[in-house]
Amino acid sequence: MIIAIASGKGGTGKTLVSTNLFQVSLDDRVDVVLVDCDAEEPNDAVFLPGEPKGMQTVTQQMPVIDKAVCTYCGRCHDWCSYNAIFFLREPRRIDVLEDLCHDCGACLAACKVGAITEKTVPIGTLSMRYINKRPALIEGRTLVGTASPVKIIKQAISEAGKHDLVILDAPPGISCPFIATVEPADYVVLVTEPTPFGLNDLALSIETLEQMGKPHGVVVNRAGLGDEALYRWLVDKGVLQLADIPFDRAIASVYAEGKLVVKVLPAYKPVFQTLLDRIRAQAHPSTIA
Amino acid sequence: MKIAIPCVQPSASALVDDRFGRCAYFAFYDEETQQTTFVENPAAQSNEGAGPAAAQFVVSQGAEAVAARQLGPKVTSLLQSLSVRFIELNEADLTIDRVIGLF
Ligand code: SF4
Ligand code: SF4
Repeated sequence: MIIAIASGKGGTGKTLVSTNLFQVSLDDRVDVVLVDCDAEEPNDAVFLPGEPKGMQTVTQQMPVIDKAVCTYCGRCHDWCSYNAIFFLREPRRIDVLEDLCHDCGACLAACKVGAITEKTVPIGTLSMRYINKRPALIEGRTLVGTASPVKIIKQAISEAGKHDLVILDAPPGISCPFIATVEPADYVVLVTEPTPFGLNDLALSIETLEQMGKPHGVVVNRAGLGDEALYRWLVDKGVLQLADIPFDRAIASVYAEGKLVVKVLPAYKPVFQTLLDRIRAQAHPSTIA
Repeated sequence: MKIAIPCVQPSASALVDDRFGRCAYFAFYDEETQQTTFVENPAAQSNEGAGPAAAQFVVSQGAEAVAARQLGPKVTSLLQSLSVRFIELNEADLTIDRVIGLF
C-alpha cells in the first residue's frame, strides 16, 4: 500500500505527520518505508537517525547545440515549452538555459540538421537510511539549478520497491512534482490548518485529487487555531476528516528540536495510531471486517 | 537607441510594471523618432522562464536598453551578454511618460 502525505502549501505539518506515522507503523511491526519526495527541501531525515548509505546520482539528458551546424532556423526554440532555449535570429544567438530544461527531448526532434546532441548531467541524489539494518528512509534531493525534481521523485519512489506500507512525503503545491508523487499512491492524506489560507490551498489540492480520481482524507493540524469554516467545508464537501492534531506548544517545540512527537510525548501516540488504522481502512476498504 | 520599459497598460500614462518577465506590456521608446509603441508581453503567461523569454522578446524587437525597477540574475546576465544596457528605475510608481522624460 502506498500513501502520500501532502498539503497545498509548506509548513502545515506534512513532515510531522509523515515521520510520526512512519514511527507508529514501525512500532507496530509494519514493513514500512518512508520516501521524502519533497526533493527541493527534504527534511524527514532530521527526525530519523542513521547515516545515509548508498548515495546514488540522478541524471538527466541535456541538449547541446553545435553552433557550427545550427542554421538558426528557430524550430527548437519554438518547440520548447519551457523557455529553455534562448534564441535570437538577429543578432545570432542560441543557448540552452540548463536550469530551465525539463529533458523533454522536443528540441532534438525539432532540429532537422542534427545540430543538437545530448550530454548527461547530474540533477540530484538519492540516499537511503537504515533502521535495524532495514531500509527506512529514502531521500530524494535536487541539486541547485535543477529545473524539475520530477525525475528524482520517480526514482526515489521506485527505489523504495514493494513494502506493506510506503509513505510518500509529497512536495507542497499542486504542480508536476506533487502530481508525480500522488500518482502512484493508493490513498492521499492532506494535512491542513483550520485557517482561511489553509482552506484555500486545501480546496485547490482536493480539486486536483478529484480530477485524478485519487481517494483522499484530511488531517487537521493545529486544531483549535482559526475558526470552524474548515470543518463546515469538509462536511459540505463530504471529505473525510481523518484526524485532529491539537494546537499544542509542546508539539511545536518537540518538532523544532527535530524529534518525534510519538517518542517524546507518548500521550499523542494514539492520535497517530488511530490515523494509521483509519488510513489502512480507507485504502483497503475490503479488509475492515 | 530603442528602450524597452515594462508597463501595466498600453498607454503613456500607465505605470511601470514592477515585474520584468511577467509584465503585461512593454513600451518601446525610440529615442531617434521619439515614438513609443506598446506591445503585449508574450512571455507573461509562461509557467517557467518568463524572464529569459521576455529578454529574448525585447531584444528581438530591437531594444538596446531596458529601463525597469529590477531584473533577476538570469535576465541580467543574458542582457549583459547581448550588450543591452540596464537602466535601473529607483523610484516607485513612475508612469511611462515620466520614464521617457528621463531620456
Ligand atoms: S529538452 Fe525539452 S525542455 Fe530541454 S531544451 Fe529541449 S525542448 Fe526545451
Ligand atoms: S532547430 Fe537546429 S538548426 Fe534550428 S535553431 Fe535549433 S539547433 Fe539550430
